[in-house]
Amino acid sequence: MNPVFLDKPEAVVLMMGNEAIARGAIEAGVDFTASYPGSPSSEIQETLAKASKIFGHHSEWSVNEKVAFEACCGASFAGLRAMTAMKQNGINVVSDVLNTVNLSGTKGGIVLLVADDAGGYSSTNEMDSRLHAKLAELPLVEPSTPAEAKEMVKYAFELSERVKLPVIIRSVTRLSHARGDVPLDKILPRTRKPQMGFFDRFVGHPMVHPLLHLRFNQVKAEFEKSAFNSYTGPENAETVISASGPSAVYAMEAVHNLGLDDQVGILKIGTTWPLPEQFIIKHLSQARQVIVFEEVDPFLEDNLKVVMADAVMSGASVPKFFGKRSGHIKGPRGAGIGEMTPDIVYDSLANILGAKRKPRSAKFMEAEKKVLEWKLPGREWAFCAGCPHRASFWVMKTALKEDDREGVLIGDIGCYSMGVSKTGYNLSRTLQCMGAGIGFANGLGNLKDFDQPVIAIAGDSTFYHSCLPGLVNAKYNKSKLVFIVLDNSGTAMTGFQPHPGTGKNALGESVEPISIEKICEGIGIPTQVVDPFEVEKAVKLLDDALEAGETRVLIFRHKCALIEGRESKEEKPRVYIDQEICLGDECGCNRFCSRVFACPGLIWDEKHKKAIIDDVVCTRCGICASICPKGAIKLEEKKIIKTMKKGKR
Amino acid sequence: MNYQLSLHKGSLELEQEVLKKELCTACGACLGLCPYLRVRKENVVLLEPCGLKEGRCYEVCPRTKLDFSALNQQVFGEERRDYVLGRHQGLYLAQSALKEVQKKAQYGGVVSGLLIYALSKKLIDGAILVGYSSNYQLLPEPILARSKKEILACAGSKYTSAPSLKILNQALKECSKLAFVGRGCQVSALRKRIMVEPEIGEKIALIIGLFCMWALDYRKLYSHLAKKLDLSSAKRFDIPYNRFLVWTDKKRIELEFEPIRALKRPTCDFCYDFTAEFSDLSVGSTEWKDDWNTLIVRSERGKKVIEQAKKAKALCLKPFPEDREKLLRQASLGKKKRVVNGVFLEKKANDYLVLSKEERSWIENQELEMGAKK
Repeated sequence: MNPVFLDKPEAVVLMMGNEAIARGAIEAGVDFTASYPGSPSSEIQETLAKASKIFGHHSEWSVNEKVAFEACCGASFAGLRAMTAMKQNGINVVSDVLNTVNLSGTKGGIVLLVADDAGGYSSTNEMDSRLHAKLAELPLVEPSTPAEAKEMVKYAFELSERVKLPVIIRSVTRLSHARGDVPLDKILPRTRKPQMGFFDRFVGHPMVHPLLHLRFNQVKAEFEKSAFNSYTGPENAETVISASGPSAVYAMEAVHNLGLDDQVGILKIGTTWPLPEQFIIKHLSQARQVIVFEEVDPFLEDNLKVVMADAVMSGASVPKFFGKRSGHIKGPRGAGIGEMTPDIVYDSLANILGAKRKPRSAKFMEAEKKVLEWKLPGREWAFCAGCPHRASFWVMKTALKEDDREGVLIGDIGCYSMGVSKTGYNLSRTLQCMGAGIGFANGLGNLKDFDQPVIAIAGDSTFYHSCLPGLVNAKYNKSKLVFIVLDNSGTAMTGFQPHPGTGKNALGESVEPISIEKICEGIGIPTQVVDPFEVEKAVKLLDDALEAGETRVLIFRHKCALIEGRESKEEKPRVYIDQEICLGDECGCNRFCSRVFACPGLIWDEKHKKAIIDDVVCTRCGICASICPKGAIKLEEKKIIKTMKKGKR
Repeated sequence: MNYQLSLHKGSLELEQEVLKKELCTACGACLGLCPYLRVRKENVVLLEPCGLKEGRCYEVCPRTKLDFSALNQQVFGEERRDYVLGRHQGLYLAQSALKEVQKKAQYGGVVSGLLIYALSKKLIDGAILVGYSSNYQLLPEPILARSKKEILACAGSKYTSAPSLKILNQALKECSKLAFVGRGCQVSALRKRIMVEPEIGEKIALIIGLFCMWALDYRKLYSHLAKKLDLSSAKRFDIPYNRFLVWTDKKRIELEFEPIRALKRPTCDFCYDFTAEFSDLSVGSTEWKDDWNTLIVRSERGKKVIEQAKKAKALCLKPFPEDREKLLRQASLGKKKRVVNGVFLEKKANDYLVLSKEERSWIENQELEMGAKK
């Protein structure tokens, strides 16, 4: 059994932050879980989906974050405990309902977990989601370690039930994806019976705004006594560090290693909104300077300043604040940009306090040198070998050229976001948020005196997530655009989660797939399906669609090479390049396959001036065989027979 | 492979100097050589520069350096003498003797008839011709015809510019005695290609050039026609004596001609070669007798085919009347003078064309007889 699911109170299990969060929900006896995948949050729902077979709670991949959260609200309205997890972009999708359900209130405990991708390793922004808590006047807690994350989830359910409000928990990549020891606790049995009584009404209206403030003050009072907030270090320290999330742990480490334990106090804040004002005033009014660590925005920093400014009325003195506003806390790209790291904490403490970092041991330095000497080969941002998106972008590149009217391609969010770079032939003109592509195209396709044809793209999962309104609008308002669904049969970028088109749900059960083409046809848009590996056919269809000058849909359908590799059992024929036929860099080719089409499986052999195939990388998809101008790329036939024989033995 | 390239320019220059300047004639000579150049509805585009400094695409283009004296020397082994109709050894009124050809042909059916005859006598084993696309209405499409039936299916004039040299490489894989039929620009391009790769010339048995004053731009024509009539019912169109006729399922419709003439390819204004002067045989209408063609016999091998066909009674020949020759010469001279005198110079460059000093000044000074254009 997955140790995350063990029913062994007091056992200590090493687990990922996201698993600890899921474990917290399980221990709290969660009844309903629903999410849309997004790095770095995806493992939470994945773990909860696996757990649902054991603990019986509902678990689903919803079409988008808003629906997921609203479904959770539904469960809460019926008195159940519900949780959703998302990345920072997701909470923007939710924000509409977040700012009404705060007024209406909830019933069963409801937790919104948002994992921020500080540094934007897998995102189009590095937005600080905590501002949503302030915007919606909802309670927000920030764990620093996986163990604390688990505890905070449990606490969040209880708090939510006490104050009848959703509680937001904010994680970051370095918490969600870090591993730590997590002491297990007992798993509460799920005994709640869903019911909506006659007086269970949930009406969001400004009329009930005072009620929200009442509840908010109740939260504030509770946070004053919260164990998630702590002060460590000398009493009445002149210098106090205040930090939230993993930054608090970095600060503790740095203070210790810089030998500052006797001089510097650490005020760790776990309940970042609303702030425990009295607790803060108590520890900061004695201090002469305060240094604030958090990621990404100066959220805690600003709010601490407000608390201290108000405290002046009751006679407190205000310390100096060193932080992102003052420019003292900053990463290599500037203050308030990028994720917080132990190095930034060390360096800024050393700078502000004049402390010196203890040198590492000679043994460590030697080991570090060794590791750094071994240089990894540089890798381009690229579609995988055999990726259908490469074929799709090739088709789009070719068709746009053939069309010869400087057509524009409007991108969206998924693996194909890389269409802005060389691997997608730099075709995509936009890269923003889920479903924005079709929206932008709506406008471009409806401009008078704009003669450039417009293509909008979206993946299959993105299609269900947020493309439908844009598509309906395009048809309704006669926007001239070709919407291409790059259907690779999965949510590839976030780890192959199923979606409504895949015929599977979060539990792996078979469900009726929802047909993209039927939806589009239902809207009344001429729709065609083509395999982008049939390059010439797809190019012609796209050319025709561009010339049609109306709303059109093309579905480029070909399974993700990674999914196919997992599912496919039979060995495909090896692809090789006939060295006799290969033109190499001569007129008529000039390394077309390796230089221009540029699948990572195709390599240029400098020595022999011919193309060769990297057998390790090649997925044997065979598309290069169809684009080689000389037909030099071939599929080996013998190999299949050999393997079959082997199989028989 | 070693190509005898002399211009030392490549695909990027082809795009800059020809494609982007609307000088492309859609001859198709640069297509099918590499994956970088593509065509859609007679519009040639460069997918992206291939990265090589020089290439066959630039070399063989009829709108890059085209030296009439040198090409004449290369093709016919002699200097240019007739600056108006090009090297020739016979000018006739001609007509195919085959009834089935006459039925389908635009005029005298000389091209279809000759090809059918040559194929039956194994003088050729295939011909690059132009039929119609099965995908797009009224779009001419290159076809490698290898039977009488396939040749007949291609009978009839096309008025937009099918890039039929696109299929040359493929055709050379299948045929060793290939015939090519095309416009003057295409004939020049093919000759240039043979200069680059002489072994190709050995597999080409006959080049028939078609008289061509200009070709229409397919995309422009199509959108023009789409505004005027229901194109789904249109079956074919014809331009007899400066009239534009469209046949639909039920009736014949005539459209105003001048707006359609304006849809010609801009590059045609720079064409110096109305009668396809580097062909073995040139064929055109007579602008006089609808069931006859004008036939210019140029090369020795062209002459041989004509003599054989005549002997076999596959072809009827009549002497070309002197007054008609005068008109033909006036038409050709007029086109040449417009190019040489730079009538369209304000629009585009015509410096691709290389003429001997003598030829240039002769053309410049030759008087055009008024009214000769009729």
